[in-house]
Amino acid sequence: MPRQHLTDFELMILLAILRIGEDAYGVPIAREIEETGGRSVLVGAIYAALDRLEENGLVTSTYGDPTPERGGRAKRFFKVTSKGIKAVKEARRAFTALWTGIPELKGGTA
Amino acid sequence: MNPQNLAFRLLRLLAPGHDALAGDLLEQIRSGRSELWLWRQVIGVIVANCVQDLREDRIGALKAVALGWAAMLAFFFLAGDFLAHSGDQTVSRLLSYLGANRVGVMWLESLRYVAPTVIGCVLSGWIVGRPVLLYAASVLLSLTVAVTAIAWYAAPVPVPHTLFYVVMLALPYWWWSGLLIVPLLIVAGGLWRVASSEPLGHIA
Repeated sequence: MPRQHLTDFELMILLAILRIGEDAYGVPIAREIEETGGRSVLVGAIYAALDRLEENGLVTSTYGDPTPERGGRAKRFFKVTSKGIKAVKEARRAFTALWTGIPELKGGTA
Repeated sequence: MNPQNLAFRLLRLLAPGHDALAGDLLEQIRSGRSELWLWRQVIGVIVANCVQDLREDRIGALKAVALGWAAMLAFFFLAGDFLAHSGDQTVSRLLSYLGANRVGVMWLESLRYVAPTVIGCVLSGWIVGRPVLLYAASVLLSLTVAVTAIAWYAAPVPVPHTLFYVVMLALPYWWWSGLLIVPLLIVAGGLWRVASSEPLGHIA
């Protein structure tokens, strides 16, 4: 049964795909999360999350052409669907609502 | 086979259907990632794949454990004793002739149990690592964990059968070694079966 809420990792992946744009496949997604999110990730964990997201209709994937530098394997490109964008916006709304009105968090950016 | 090719081969055998992911890993390796990084990624994928398979098919995993146990015990009880004791007198005479009793290495005699034990463990892994490649890793993992857990609690008590724990005594006369050797033998048997069922192809 599809879940309604995104985990923080799934949210990071969706945001990474949106930031990368057309060329979003495993390697740049992992790099984006590592560089922007400041955490090292397992590529397998990214694919497991992407499979769940695709199952829930939040992303779609297509295969590119096989390339020699990948041992003849194709890249799997991901794109966020309109349902995925809606889920990201909903997550932002929920986070913003939780953020506001907390005195300890006022006055800083990080 | 170099460690890098071995990693990709294990990925293909134990987590089939991850071609795009394997391509990503190869691309990263060629852009300077270390082999240690590759192994960490590959083990992560295999474990995640196992967990996912086990969640989806618990009954299948239980059946595999039962089948593996049944195969191992059937072999031990039906053929193991015969294999272990068929050369009793010859082995004892040979060891005595070599002076093994004088230098305190009569434990070498227990090595006769090793062959049937090895065959029993490999056989159970081979039977469980059936050609259903999609679930091979998870069912092998289930059996290996089950057997190792029993070995952990049972050793060095001779349960369920002498041949089962004797590896722990014989190699190298330190029973803890069996806790490593028995799972390795089961996994080796399973991988043998899976690899022989897999069509040959380009690995990395």
